[in-house]
Amino acid sequence: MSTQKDNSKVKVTRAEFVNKRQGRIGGKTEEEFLEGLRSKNTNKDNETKNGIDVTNSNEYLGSSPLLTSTPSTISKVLINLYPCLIIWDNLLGVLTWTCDDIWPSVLLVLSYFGIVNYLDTIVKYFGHIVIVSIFIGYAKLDKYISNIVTSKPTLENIVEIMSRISLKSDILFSPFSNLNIRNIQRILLTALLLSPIHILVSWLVLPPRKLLLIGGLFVLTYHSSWSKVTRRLLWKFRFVRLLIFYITGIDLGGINKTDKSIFAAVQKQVSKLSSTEIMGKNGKNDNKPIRFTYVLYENQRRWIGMGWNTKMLSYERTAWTDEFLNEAPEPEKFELPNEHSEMVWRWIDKTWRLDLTNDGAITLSDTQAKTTATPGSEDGYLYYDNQWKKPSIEETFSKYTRRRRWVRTAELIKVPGNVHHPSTGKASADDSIVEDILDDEMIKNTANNMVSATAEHDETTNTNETGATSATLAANTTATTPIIDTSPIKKIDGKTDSRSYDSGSSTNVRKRISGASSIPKQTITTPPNNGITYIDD
Amino acid sequence: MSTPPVVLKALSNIYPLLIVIDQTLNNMLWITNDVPHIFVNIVFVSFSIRFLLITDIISVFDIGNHSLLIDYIGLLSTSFYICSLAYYIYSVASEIQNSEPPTADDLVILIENVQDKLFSVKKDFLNLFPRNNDYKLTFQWITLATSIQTLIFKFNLIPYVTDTTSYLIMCFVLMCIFHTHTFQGVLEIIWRLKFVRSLYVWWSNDNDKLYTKRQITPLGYFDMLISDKSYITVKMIIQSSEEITQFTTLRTRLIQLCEAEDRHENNTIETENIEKTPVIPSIEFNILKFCIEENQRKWNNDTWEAQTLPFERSNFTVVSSCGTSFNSDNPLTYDKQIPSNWIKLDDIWHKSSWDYCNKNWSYIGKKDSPECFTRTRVWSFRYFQKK
Repeated sequence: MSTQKDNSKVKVTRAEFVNKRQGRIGGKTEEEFLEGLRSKNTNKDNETKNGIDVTNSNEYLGSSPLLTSTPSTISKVLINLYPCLIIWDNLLGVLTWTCDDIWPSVLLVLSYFGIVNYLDTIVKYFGHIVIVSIFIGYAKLDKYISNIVTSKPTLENIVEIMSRISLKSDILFSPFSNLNIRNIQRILLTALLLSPIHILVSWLVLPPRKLLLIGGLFVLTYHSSWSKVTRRLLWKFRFVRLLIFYITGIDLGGINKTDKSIFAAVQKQVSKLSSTEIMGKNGKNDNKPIRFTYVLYENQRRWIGMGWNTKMLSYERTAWTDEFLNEAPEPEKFELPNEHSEMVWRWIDKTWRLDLTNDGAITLSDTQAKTTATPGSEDGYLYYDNQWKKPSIEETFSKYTRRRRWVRTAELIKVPGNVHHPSTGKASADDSIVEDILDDEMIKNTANNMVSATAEHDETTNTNETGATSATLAANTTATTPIIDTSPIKKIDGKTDSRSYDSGSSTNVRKRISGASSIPKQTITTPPNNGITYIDD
Repeated sequence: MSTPPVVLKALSNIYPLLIVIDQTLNNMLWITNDVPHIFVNIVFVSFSIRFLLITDIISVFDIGNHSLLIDYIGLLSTSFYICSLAYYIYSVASEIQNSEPPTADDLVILIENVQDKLFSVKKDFLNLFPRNNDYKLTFQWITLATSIQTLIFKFNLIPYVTDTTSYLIMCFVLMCIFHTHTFQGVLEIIWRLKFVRSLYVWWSNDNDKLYTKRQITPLGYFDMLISDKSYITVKMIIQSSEEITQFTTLRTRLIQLCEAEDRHENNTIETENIEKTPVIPSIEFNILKFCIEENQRKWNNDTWEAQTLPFERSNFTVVSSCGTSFNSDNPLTYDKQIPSNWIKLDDIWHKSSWDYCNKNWSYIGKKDSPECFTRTRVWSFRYFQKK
């Protein structure tokens, strides 16, 4: 008897299993839902032994929870859209090489290759058949779509396919998202300016059909894995980067050896200096400040009818550069790097100051200030010809470019022992704490000390000025105090040049300087006589 | 009822793509406000095609002879077009990021727009190639296309279209301007020509389902009904002698029976009840019903006329029980041709109300509307005889 009962139970279960409810929207979820309930009820039955057969009542349970909670307007729209979604999904899959099967993508690339290579033959002899095939293909596709509509998708399927499509479209459009308006403008400008060269190249070297082939293949294979690897490999060559820069006018990064080279040079020097000193002094140089004079060059070009203008040609230096002609931000947007984990930058000069000598090229009388924070619009320029050659301090007809030099000194101080910044050592949310720690009196003291330091500093500068050096990295060698630094300047490479720049009134310490956060009061009150060391790059 | 976050998220993710598709369709269908923009695009693409399909490298000495300006414009168009595409996608992405997120209504409206536009495109395609096209039609199209292709390339049918570049530009421009008002207007005018429609119907073999060349006379229709046994037989229980002696009473009684019989067909339960009623003295009558469809088409000035197009049903049609259709005479001529042993049951032809249909004779409604171009109604008349 017991076996019979068991058999009957099994039969009942199978019968239910076979008699699944057929195709309404939300089918699969519904089935899972019902199956779950059935198993639950079966358990209940087993527990109560004489339980009533309630499995049939499952037939009256609701459909997909997602469907029931979605307004009918949206469900309807989505169901109508479903066939299109399937097509878009497949199409995007082929274009982004994200299908399970990559052969459609390969076939597409091969077809493109064949079509472009044999376009004349195809158009002349098979053009009409291609057109008719497109029409017939569309009719077949439409038939396929209408068959899919009758297959009654679940809302979960639709949501899933929409997520897939959005992902694929993001992949497809990812190259565009890296662009910005400036890039696009530059491409256009390059195209306009270099178009005669491009035309010549297309006439003499690379015919446009080949360009179409290469361009098309590049676009079609852009998202394939091997194309990505190839691109990555090629990108390692500076030649490739330069080539792309010259063709498009866009700096995609890496034209210069490193990004943010102005900061990178500083970092390099800093790390070099730090490491040598750490090694030399067995790590007992914790609070040694390092000074660096940031230099920005303002470049301008003379345009006929427009006069002097910051608009530059796409292939030349940008309007603002560092001394190595790397692109640099404008003074207003210039921010000190805050990347070193244990060291913090802060400005010593209040503002950027124009170097009226333009790196020593313009001779000034001894009584004149070498830098100024409020220069005239025409001050401090050196004029060059169209090729940025033949510098002259006078503007003549043959001069089409000019530049002048802005400087500002900053200081890198080490956060002692990370007492207040245990985790990062960066200027962070601890600024508020810093402001609490530093009282007004301390700030006043600091400011006064800095002013006196500047005065000494200026004297040194005036007496020892020799000429052009570019980046000046100033390191405090004794450094018991990080902030106040009144020391004379000497070059680290042993040269006699120790030119520095008037810090003027810029030595007011701002309250928000995070670098001061970790400095104990007692270290500030006793300014030492530190020597500032220059490093020529 | 609020939309579940899962659905909303999926919809908002797909929103940028939908905008791009919608805009593309707008440009294709010329339903944007910025028509000059489409025109500029067409010009750019045409110049780009011309430039990009140049295959040969030329000698330095031939540069002077080459069409410098057009090549230069081609290059600029190509770069400008690519830039504008990139800028468009960039601006869509950035605007969506920076502006307020779309509401569910926005999403639904956008999706519906896209669907409608896709439907319009589909309709145009399927007009030429029906979904269930047969090999015959495909063969016809290929033959026609081959002929045109030969004429173009061998005999220079179209001026200036002599090579691949010009052919592709022509195809592209034709494809682009297909949905302009001008082009559609010209097509509409051409479509008004009768021979064009006849040609189209002949080409696609898509006659009206009731179109036929076979004519049936009233007597032929009568014979057909008799041979199909399409008449009904009613039993009349004789309740009074008047029913047999007076013709008017008999007709009234028969009409009642006939209507009752119609009701029986619709209501089986009633039939059973009636069958149970005892029938004592009775006479059986055969009742024959002529049904003729009258078809009319709307012509100029919204006037309905009996004249229909050559490839569609005629003014009066008759459909047999097995579905075959015939052209019929005017019902008013039927009286004289029916055998005299059949007596008129009705005084006049009974006419149903008009059913208004679209241009393909598909039913739309009972009232006239601008989309209605055809209408049909049924004329019916009954005869009877003693069985």
